Order: sequence, then C-alpha cells, then structure tokens
Amino acid sequence: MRRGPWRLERGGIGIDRSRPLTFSWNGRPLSGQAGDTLASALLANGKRVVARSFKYHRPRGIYTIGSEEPGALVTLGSGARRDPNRKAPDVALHEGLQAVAQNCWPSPRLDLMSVNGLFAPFFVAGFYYKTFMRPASWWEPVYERFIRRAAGLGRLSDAPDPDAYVRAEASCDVLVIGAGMAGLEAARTALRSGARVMLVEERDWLGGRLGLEPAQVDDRPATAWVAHVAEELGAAERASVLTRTSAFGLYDHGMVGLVETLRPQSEQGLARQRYWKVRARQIVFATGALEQPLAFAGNDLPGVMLSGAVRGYVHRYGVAAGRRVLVAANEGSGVETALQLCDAGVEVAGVVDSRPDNQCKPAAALDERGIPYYPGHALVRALGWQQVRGARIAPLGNEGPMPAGLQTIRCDAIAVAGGWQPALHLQCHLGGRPPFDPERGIFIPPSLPDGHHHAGACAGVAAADAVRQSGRRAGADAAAACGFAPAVRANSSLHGDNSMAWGASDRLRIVPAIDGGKRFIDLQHDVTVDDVALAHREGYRSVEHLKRYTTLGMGTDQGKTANMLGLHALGEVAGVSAGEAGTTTFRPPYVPVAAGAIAGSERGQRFRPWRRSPVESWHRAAGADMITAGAWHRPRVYPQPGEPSSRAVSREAAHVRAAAGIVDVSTLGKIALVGPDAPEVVNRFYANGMKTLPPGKARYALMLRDDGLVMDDGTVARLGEQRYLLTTTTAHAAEVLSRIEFLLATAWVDLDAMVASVSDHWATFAIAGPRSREVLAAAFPDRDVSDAAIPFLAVREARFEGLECLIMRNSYSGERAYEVYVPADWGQAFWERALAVGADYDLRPYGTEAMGVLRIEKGHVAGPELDGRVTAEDIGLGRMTRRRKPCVGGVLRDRPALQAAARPRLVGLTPLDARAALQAGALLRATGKTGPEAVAGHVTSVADSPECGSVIALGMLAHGDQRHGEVIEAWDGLADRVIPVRVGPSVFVDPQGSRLHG
Amino acid sequence: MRIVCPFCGERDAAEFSYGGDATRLRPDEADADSGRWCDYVFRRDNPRGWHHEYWQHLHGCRAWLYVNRNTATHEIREVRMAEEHVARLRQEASE
Amino acid sequence: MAERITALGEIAWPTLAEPRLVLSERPVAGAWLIQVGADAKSAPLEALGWLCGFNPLPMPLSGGVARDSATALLAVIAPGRCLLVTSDANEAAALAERIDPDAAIACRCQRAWLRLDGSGVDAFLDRRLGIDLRGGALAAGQMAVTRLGPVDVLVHAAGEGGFDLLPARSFAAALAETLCDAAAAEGVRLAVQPAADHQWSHMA
Repeated sequence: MRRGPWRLERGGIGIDRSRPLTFSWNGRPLSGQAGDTLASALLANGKRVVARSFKYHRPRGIYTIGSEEPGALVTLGSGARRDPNRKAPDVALHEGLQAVAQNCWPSPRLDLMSVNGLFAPFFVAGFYYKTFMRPASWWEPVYERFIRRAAGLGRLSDAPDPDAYVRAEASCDVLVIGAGMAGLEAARTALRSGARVMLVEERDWLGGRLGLEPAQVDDRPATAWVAHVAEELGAAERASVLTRTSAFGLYDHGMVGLVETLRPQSEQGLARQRYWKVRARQIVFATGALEQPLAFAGNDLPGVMLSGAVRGYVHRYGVAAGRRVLVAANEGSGVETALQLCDAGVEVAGVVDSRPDNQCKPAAALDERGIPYYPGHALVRALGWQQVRGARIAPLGNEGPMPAGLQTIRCDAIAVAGGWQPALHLQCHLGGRPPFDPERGIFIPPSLPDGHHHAGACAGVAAADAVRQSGRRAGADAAAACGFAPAVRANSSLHGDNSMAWGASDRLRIVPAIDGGKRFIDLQHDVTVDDVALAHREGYRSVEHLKRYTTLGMGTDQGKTANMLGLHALGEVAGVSAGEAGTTTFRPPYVPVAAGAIAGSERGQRFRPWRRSPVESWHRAAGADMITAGAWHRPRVYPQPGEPSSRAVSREAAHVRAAAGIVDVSTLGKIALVGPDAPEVVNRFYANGMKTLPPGKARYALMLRDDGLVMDDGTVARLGEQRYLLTTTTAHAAEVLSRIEFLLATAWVDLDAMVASVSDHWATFAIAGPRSREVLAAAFPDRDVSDAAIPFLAVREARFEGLECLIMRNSYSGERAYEVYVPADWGQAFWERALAVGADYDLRPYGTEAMGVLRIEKGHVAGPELDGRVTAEDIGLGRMTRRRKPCVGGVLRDRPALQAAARPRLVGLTPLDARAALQAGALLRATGKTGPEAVAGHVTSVADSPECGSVIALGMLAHGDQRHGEVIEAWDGLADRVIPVRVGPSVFVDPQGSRLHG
Repeated sequence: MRIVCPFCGERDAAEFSYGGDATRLRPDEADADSGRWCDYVFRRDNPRGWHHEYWQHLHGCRAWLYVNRNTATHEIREVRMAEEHVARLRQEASE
Repeated sequence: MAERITALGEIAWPTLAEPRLVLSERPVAGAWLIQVGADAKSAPLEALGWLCGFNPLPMPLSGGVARDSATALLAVIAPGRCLLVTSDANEAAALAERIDPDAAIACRCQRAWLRLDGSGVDAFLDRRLGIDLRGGALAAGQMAVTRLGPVDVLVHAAGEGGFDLLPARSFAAALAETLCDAAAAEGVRLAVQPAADHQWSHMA
C-alpha cells in the first residue's frame, strides 16, 4: 500500500488550502482546512476509527458524507455546551472546535467495553425481552444500572443550555426543499414566474451532488453553474435562500418546520439556531436520494464507506478514504468511482462488480489505468480487526458466490455502491406510505394533497437532464398553482456523468456469508441480517414488528442507510418483495432538533407569558413573598424582616378582623355585559335569581355547568338597566367569558347583548375590616360612604382624582368590606393613597394567604371546594338557588344522583389538637376504620385561624349535615398520618354575619 | 393545521380553541325534559372522518365558528360563523 | 395629582443608544368597545368617527378595517364590534358624552397602546407574527387581531411604516419582553420607551 498523507496534493473544490484551522479530537490538537467538515478533517488526519456502536461496541468509522451517517457519532463541546450524537459529516469545521469520541472507554481504538462483542451470540435481537427478568427485585439495583453503563450513545450535559435561540414565522408562495440541481431549477423557475420563493438546504453550500462530483452543466463546471443560479436567487427581493437549514417536519396545510443553524454557539446573545414555522402555498420536494449499502460479512469495519461518499471526500475535500481502495458495486457507478479515484491520485485495488457478466461492459478505461476488474463477482467479506485490511471476493454462480473461487485482495478501504433510494421521509410525514416501483427497485413518493410537488432524484428521476427538467416543471407547476404564469425555458445540454443509475431491481444486495462473519444492516443499532431472520422465526413478521423487535432504523439516523436493506432481508426470509413488505411510518423530525430551538426564548421564566397586576412592583418592593397563581404573581404575605411566614399570615388575618386591611384582587376576572337583553342573559346564565336585581346592586352568583354541577362563583353587579359587571374567580375568568360567548353564538342567537373582558381595565382592591368605612371615607373624601349611601351589596360610582371608579360593598372575609375598582393606570396610585390616608385607621396590606384564612373561617367556598364534582346543595348554597328557574344546568341538576342524601356535604372540621398538621387532601373516615370503603370524604381547605386559636378546615363529608359533633379522623396516606377531627358547621366565625354590618 | 376564519382569514390552528361537537341544537333553558338535555350534554358520535364541530377563534376575533373537518386527514371542508350553522340546524329541525 | 403609571411604565427598561427599533407607549385617554348593528350601518358610529377626524367613515365597515388619525384609532376587531381608542383628552371627553353607556363598553385601560417603529420593522415584525406582513396581509391602515409569540395582540399597520400593537394591559410587559428577546437573538437593537410624560391630563 502506498504510504503518504490522506489529504491529496491537489483537488478539493470545497476547501481553502490557504486557511488552515485547528481543532481538537479527544483532547489532541489536529489541523484541517476552512471548508472541511469534521469528518473530512478526521479522515485527512488518518482518524478512521471514531466511535463505537451502540450494542456491541464495535469500532465505527465514517460511512457517509451527509446527515444520514449511522456510525461516526461524536460529542462536540464540553460542559453546558456538550452536544452528543452529532454526525461527523454534518459538522462544519471551525477554529477551536472540540470533539470527542463517545460510547467508548478509554478511546475508540481501545475500548474496554467491546467485551460486549464477546457476548454477541447472546446479544441477538430482542435479547433484552428474554433476559434480566428474574429475580424481579434485581431490576433496579443491578440490571438497570449495568445496562445503563454498558449501553447508550453520547452523554448529555445536565446543565441548562447556555445558548440563545429564536423562533420565526414565514410565508411564501413556493417553498423548495433541497438545493441540488432539481431544487435550484425549481426555485429559479418559480422566481422567474413571479412567485415568492424560499429555498432551503441542509448543507452550508448549494448544489447537492453537484458539489460532490466532477460534472459539467451547460458546458461549464457544475460549481460555476450553481454559483450563477445562486447569484440570481440571492439578488432577488422575492427569493430567500437559507443554507444550514434542515426541513425537519412536514405538517398539514402546507406547514413546514425548519431549523436554521446561524452559528456554532451563541455569542453576545445572538441565537445559535432559528426555528422557522413556514406556511407555503406550494411545496417542491427536491430532497434527492440516499445511497444504499451492501450487506456482506464485516461490512461495518471502519474503512467501508458508501461510494458516493468516497468520491465526495476526494472531489470536495481532497481527502482519500483509503490508500488502496477496493470498489464493490451492484450497479454501474462502481466503474465510474474507480476512474474518478484513480484520476484524483488514489490507488484503486480493483472493482468488484456483482452484475451478471453480460451487463458489465468491457472496461477499457479501467485497463488503461491498470485497475483490475472483477465482473460477476461479489465481495463476500471485509477483513481486518479494527479497520479494513483486505477483502475476500468470490465469483457468482447460479447458487450464489462460489467458495471454490475465493480470493483475497489487499486494501484498506472499500467503496460500496449498492444503488440509491429516493429520500422520502419528509414526504411521508403526513402518514402516506410510499409505493414500491418494482422496475427501478425503489420506493417513490406517496400521493399527497394538492400543493406538493416532487422534483429530481426524490421523484425517481435519474438522468441528469431529466432531473433538470423535472425541477423546472415542478417550479413552474408550483408557480402556476399560485396563479402566476409559469416561466419555463427550453432544454439545454448537460455534460459529465451525473446520472444516478437505479440499477436492476433484482440486484444483489445481501451477500451470503460463505466465509463466516456478521453482515450488518443497521450500523448504529448493530442489527444484522441474522437478526432479521431471527425476528421472523420468532413470529415478528410484519415490518412494524421487525423494526421494534430488532430496533432496526430506530437510531438517530432513522435507518436512512439501513431500512432498505432491512426490507430486502425481510423479503428474503418471508418470501416477499421489499415492496410487499412495505415501510414503517415516517415521523418528524427528519434530523435531531435541539429542544432549545423549539423553545426559542420561551424557557425558564419566559416559559409562559406572565401577567402583571398594576401593583405588582409595589408588592415586590414591600418584600412580599410572591406566589404564582395561574399567569400571575400574587403576594402571599408581607412578612416583617425576620418574621416567619406563618406568623405573618396570622398577624395579617387577625389585623383585618381587628382594624382594617387592603388586598390586591386585580387578578379577578371582570366581564362587562351590555345590551337590551343583558338582563335576560344574566338570568339564564346564573343559577340564582337575577330578575329582581336592581341597578346599583350586586349579588353573589353561582354558575352551573350544563350537567348541573357548579362551574364557578362570583358576583353580578347591575350598573344600569342594560349594563352589568360580572366577576369570576381568577382561575375561571377565561372559561366563563368563552362560555357566555358560546351560548350567545350557538344557542341564544336571538338575544341582543355584547360581552367583553374588562379584567385589565380595572385594578381592584378589597378594603376590609371594622374600620374599612373610615378608610374609604378618607380615600374618597368627596363622596358619601355612609351605610345609607352604600348599603350592603350596593354598587356605586365614585371619583378618584377625577377618574371614574366603582365601589362595590361585598365581603369575602366576612368583615365589613368594600371592593374598589380603579382604572388600572392609576391602580398603584390609589393603593398608595389608601395606605397613606388609611394609616390613621391602622390600614395594613394583606396577602392571599391571609385572605384564604379569612374566607375559610367564614366557610366561603373557593377553588378547592369548587372542584367540578359538587352541586350547589353540596356546598351549602342550595337555599340560594332553591327557587328553580330556567338557567344553564337547571334541568340536569335535578337528576336523582345529584340530589342524593348520601352525597358529600360541606362541613367544618376542627382537629382535637389545635396545632395538628392537617393537610388539604387528607381523606375523612370514621374513627378506627380502614380500607377504601371507609373513606367518606376529604379535607378541602386548611387554615391556622387566629380568631379560633386553632387549625381549622373545610371538607366534604358524606351525610355531613347530620354528623355535626361527631369525631372522625383525617387520614393522610402519603404522610402516613391520622388526625382526629370534630365535624361542625362550616362557618367558624360570626355565624350570624353581624360583622358585615359592623 | 390552518383554519380560515371567515372574519380574519387563514390562521394557524393554535389561534383557535376546540369547542366540541356541533350537530345538536341546544334545548331551550325552559325545556324541562331531562332526556333531551342528556342527549344534548352527553350523547354525541365520535367519527373517524368528517366531523361537524365548533371552534372559537380565541386568539383572534373571538368569534365562534362552525368547522367541517376530517378527523383522520385534517382536511377542512367548510368554515362558517356559528350563527349561520345554527340557523341551518334550526331550519332542518323545523322541516 | 395622582401619578399615572402605564403598563410599560411599571418596569425599568434598559436604555439603549442608537436603537434601530423603538417600542414606545402612548397613554390612552379613552377607549370603548362598540357594537355595530347586524347590517353594519350605524349612524352613531359615523358620528363618533367624525369626532375623531375620520371624515368620512366608510360604511359599512368590514373585518380588518381600521382608521387612524393622529390621536385616535378605530378598528373593526370582530364581527359587529369596533374598538375606538383615543389618546387625546378632549376627544375622549367629547366621545364620553355621546356614547351611550348601555350600548358600549368603556374600557380605557383594558389595552396598552404601543407602537413599534424603526428601520426594518416590517421584516422584524413579519418574523414574529403568523400573518404574512411581507406578503401584504396587512396593508397600510389595516389591522388584525392575532398572537405575537404567546401574547394576543391587535396589530395595526400605521402610516409611515410603523405598527400599533395593542395587547391587554396585563400582558404588555410580556409582549415587550418577547420582542426584546427576539431582537437580542437576531442582533437587532430594540429600545423600549414607556409613556413617561406625567404632564398630560387624565381627565376623561
């Protein structure tokens, strides 16, 4: 074998030899050239073993020249930027790139885990379905730990992704996916026809195979033609060309997901990747074809490479895959490969052509170059321990390869040409199965809804000028479908052999292992031909079962270079054609996509949009302990410095009952309802009577669902004859508004009313406590706030600094209280004013926790009680809704089961130990009873009540009304705790309600 | 998926909120027949194929829409304002 | 005089020298949701339009239509529903006198009134919205209600190339943050300028 550098002295149209780059591989510095990929640079440095396979830890080298790479998986970067399972041919080399091998220890050349390979006879397909089962108790401590160590690919960093990403939306008339010859023609034609065109290409250069082979287009080098088209597209306002952009998913109605790589990592906050959601009126698929391998013994050895890749590394990167390359082919390109390699200065050991003698033309060109030609022969076994050192070939007889004619050929690389298969993954994402064309031996695109076009190799077009024409036609059709007059030019000539012969459909793909050895189909998951036969023997006959039982095609390469072979292997044992075997379902993403790209900036605190109360900055500045409540941050409590939170809550609650407190309830849902039929809407929507509600009054109101159970509670305030303000709980605001809109649109269509959210227009505060009226008077000095002017449940207009406000006298806390509604831009101003003037009356702010304590003391139901399973009667509001009237839920609420006496009813619970650690969610049962049948209810809300000097709770208890005085137990199964509680009325404080008027 | 709102034009499905089956007219609130209410609230078909349904253009004009959509292929055959669909249902009911 | 704090004014935004895009805020003097009759003709609406300087108001109004003057915006945001917003206190006072409170919903602070201006604003905004700005989905003067990232927003293509953005007030800060995040990630210098002028009258 000739010695010498792997980088050829001349050639490499894609590299810039004047710009060397330094990168590190497994901690050692290496050099490459600008324009290299990591794969080409590793090959140039003679690194042929770069990884180990998943199951058997067999050595893996670089197999392909694209994102379909199954074996050369590396980890880039370190620390938080560690990015495993990247495919070396898909990584653009840049200065300072750090890459390490993965799934091997200590190195890919010497991997101690390759001991797995010794157990290979046991590690057949599906072995884990039959092993590691007994004893069952060993699973977690022993088996799983061992398996985790031994299996797997790269290791993720568990630090947060430090890079920035961005999401973007785009629309266009024609989206062309793939910028090979067909794609470029399609894009140019559509552009010239007047359409808005987007052209996306996953590589960072345009041209597809034109950039990997010597070829001529229109009597000039292909690269010049590509540059010319690119210039036209680049200069056009209506065209946008995105390179380093993978189309990873096709979705309904012309939507495509793209991921564009902008830079290797974020710098100064600039995004690393951009996720595009594209809406295209027409889509042209120009996704090309993927070369397929041959299955012969030892075909996974580093040094075995697809022939198109071998040619591409030579032509584009000036790198030889081997010093002495043997070509093995089952179709015509084998000869072409040998000629190209030889002319580039690579020694070719021979061409092994498995086509029948009569199809192999006399190869004078090979003779001239002294390259041995073996027509009618098959490559039976690749030899070598960690890399290819030679190969055994045999002539093909009627029964297959003949052992008698075995001969050994010295070589260090094998270029494999097994034919091509259109790349159809994207086209199949909508669920279509690709049909099989038995004449060409390929799967072709499935039928798709209107608006999808196929061009070039992915459409099954092989000959070069036919590819061009198909691109033009697809671009013209797409433009025409958008309403533009298509611009199609006449045919023109093409030199150079760029043809992709599909080859004979019955060509030899799977070579019998007459010399022993494993024949691999899936290089990533170590699935062999024998595994396919085993699966079939065990009854896994369908292609879907084959896939899952053997894990064929389930790796990060999605079996792009494995599935076809797998189907042919299945066909052989099942006695059917590959087409009859069929394919499995194709799903996005076509290539792995970083989760960060999908998230964009919506991560961490930005995961969802936060809503802000007008007073939020004040709460934070006052040292409030904030809690999330839906989309809001609310102040739980305002602890004094050093004060424990629980003490602060009690202090706040006690203070409200003693003097006065103010709480920010701006998050409440507020809905304005106006119109001639507004009174009718209100009366139908709420379960309690509304017809008698006069302007200037408010009423506590209950909403039922259609099935009669309680949906939400709130207040209804009548501001005028035809004008209402409805309030809802924070959590249900959106749902209630949509519900009213739904009823007006689909049922009550004859009612004339308008409804809209005013939740953000009003800042709302509750001022509560015995001194609340004094505070109100101070805040509204020009207004009469006496009981005569503002009786209980009145709603009145008022002015704050000339602004229109509302005052509603209702009470959540059971104390005298007023809800003040102020236009939101002045919310904080009013809050500060109230605290300032209220200081004289000892007004203090209180938070949501204290608010909860107060309402629990009064037995007011809230979210934990209104859990969607309760009726009005269950929660003690039967009397309020006693008079039946036509309303939502009005009929089904009277179903017998919803009126049954044994239903859980709202009760108050007092633990016998006043300081007991009672938890909401604890289950209620008679003392001493156990088991699920004993459960008679549950605890809904718990509070530490300063007024009662004890922990108190509300709960739902079967026959609750009849069990007052009984001592039962609250059982917390999670904490394994039982707490005795006494059942009583749900109102703990001021049952007469006299404090409302106090 | 894309839905063409009659008011706003074609928008991404994420702007809409699914509103359930649209094949039945809601009984009048004054109708006391619990059998008819049970039918309306609980009994609906769940076809694999063409489905009549309501969507609300929640993140747009907030209009309620009637959509005829194929639940297997996501093809959308018809979109109109919910009020128009209800008028159609009422007419069919009275015939 | 009580201090008015508009939505973006609640947060201290970083200052940026020589921004390419500016998100500014305008205080609202008055805003109403008005029901337009089923036949889309409405004499009261015409009168209101005239008050805001929309002469004449083209009736009937259809979806996506907006009219703006220097101080006011009238947008048909839903079938049969208009949003009328003005930043001028006198206009607001005149409108308040004429608008029947039983036929319209006063909602002055329900939306924040933001404006995005600058060089390349349409390309930047086109990438943020699901509607096809560059394809002419929003000609000058038209509006749409849609989502910008995770926030619902009314978008209006104002004259001179800028865009009015009206989100619900409680979401305004989230909207500004979404725009800032995208700008930073795409290398666009975007500055946020809340309405900081305390001099204007708040009399409605």
